[in-house]
Amino acid sequence: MEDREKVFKQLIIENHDKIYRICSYHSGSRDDCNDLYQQVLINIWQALRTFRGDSKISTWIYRIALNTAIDHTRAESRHLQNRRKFEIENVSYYQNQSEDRWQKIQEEKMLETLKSEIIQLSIIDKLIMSLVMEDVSSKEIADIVGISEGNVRVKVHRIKENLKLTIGGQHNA
Amino acid sequence: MPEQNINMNNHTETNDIANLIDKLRIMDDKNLRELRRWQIILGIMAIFYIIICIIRPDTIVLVDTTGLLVFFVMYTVYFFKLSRKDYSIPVKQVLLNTKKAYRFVNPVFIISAIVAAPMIFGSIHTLFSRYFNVPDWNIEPLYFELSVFGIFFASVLIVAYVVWHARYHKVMMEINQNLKELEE
Repeated sequence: MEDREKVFKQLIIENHDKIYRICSYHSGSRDDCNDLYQQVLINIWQALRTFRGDSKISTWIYRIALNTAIDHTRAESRHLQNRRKFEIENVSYYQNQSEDRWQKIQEEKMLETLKSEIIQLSIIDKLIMSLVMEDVSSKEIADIVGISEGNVRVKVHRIKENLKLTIGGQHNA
Repeated sequence: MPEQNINMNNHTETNDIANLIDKLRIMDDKNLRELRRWQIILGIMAIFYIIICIIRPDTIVLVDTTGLLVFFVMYTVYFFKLSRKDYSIPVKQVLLNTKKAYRFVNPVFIISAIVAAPMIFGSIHTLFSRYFNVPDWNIEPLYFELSVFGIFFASVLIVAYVVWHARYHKVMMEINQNLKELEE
């Protein structure tokens, strides 16, 4: 029991940013994100009993986070409405910044646009892209999701192409 | 699954983690108590069922208790199979396991509904014969109380079946869609 608590504490200290970022892709608002984050921590705690160290700790954490996110999305009926609210909140934040940081803000805004587009993808595409955004390798994504590495590459390529078209279309409009 | 109100934000502090661990420990205790409660309920049901089978093998009581037992087993299977799944395995495997769990539980609900339908019919038949005092229908006084219970219990089973059926289709559709996307 003591060991479990120690390991859990260490895991959270080392990975809470990573877990929180993953949660943010799969939730529509900050509250929703906190709920999902909390559920991921509960599931990590429960899964620690059976952790054998067969896979990398990051793979193990991502699996728990994403599986919890899928369940959360399934259960969350207000997800779609909140998603829009979350986007609007982010945009107004940028409008309040000073002009000398304009360039940086533009880049960040681009990243936010990308994030908000990712949030609107289907659950499977979203979970793959949230891992890509975390710089997880194709091999590890394949391990986490349970499909072949080749399949991951094809999917990532296809999703990126679609995102380029969507974001490009938005900028031209 | 019982959930605690855990206040965590992006910047997790050591104190927050200590509080969280305390709450998780309480949650573990609560889960253990819940498991024990279900074991006791199932144990009592099983003993009750065996006694009924021995003393009244030819009555409606047997149908009622069979239904009751099926309901409790079904609920327990549902509870443990679905709420305690392993999240640390690959996403695709979790989807397949969830699909399997839902498919496993589904026939139990169908059996419950099948048990419920004649139970309602039998209970109404008994109540009517009692109320209108039909001479040809041989009714024991005990059946009257049992019939009221039978109607109530069978209604619960049917409502449970309808709710389950809607959920089953929704979840299966989503899982199939996710699996299809993964395999594309």
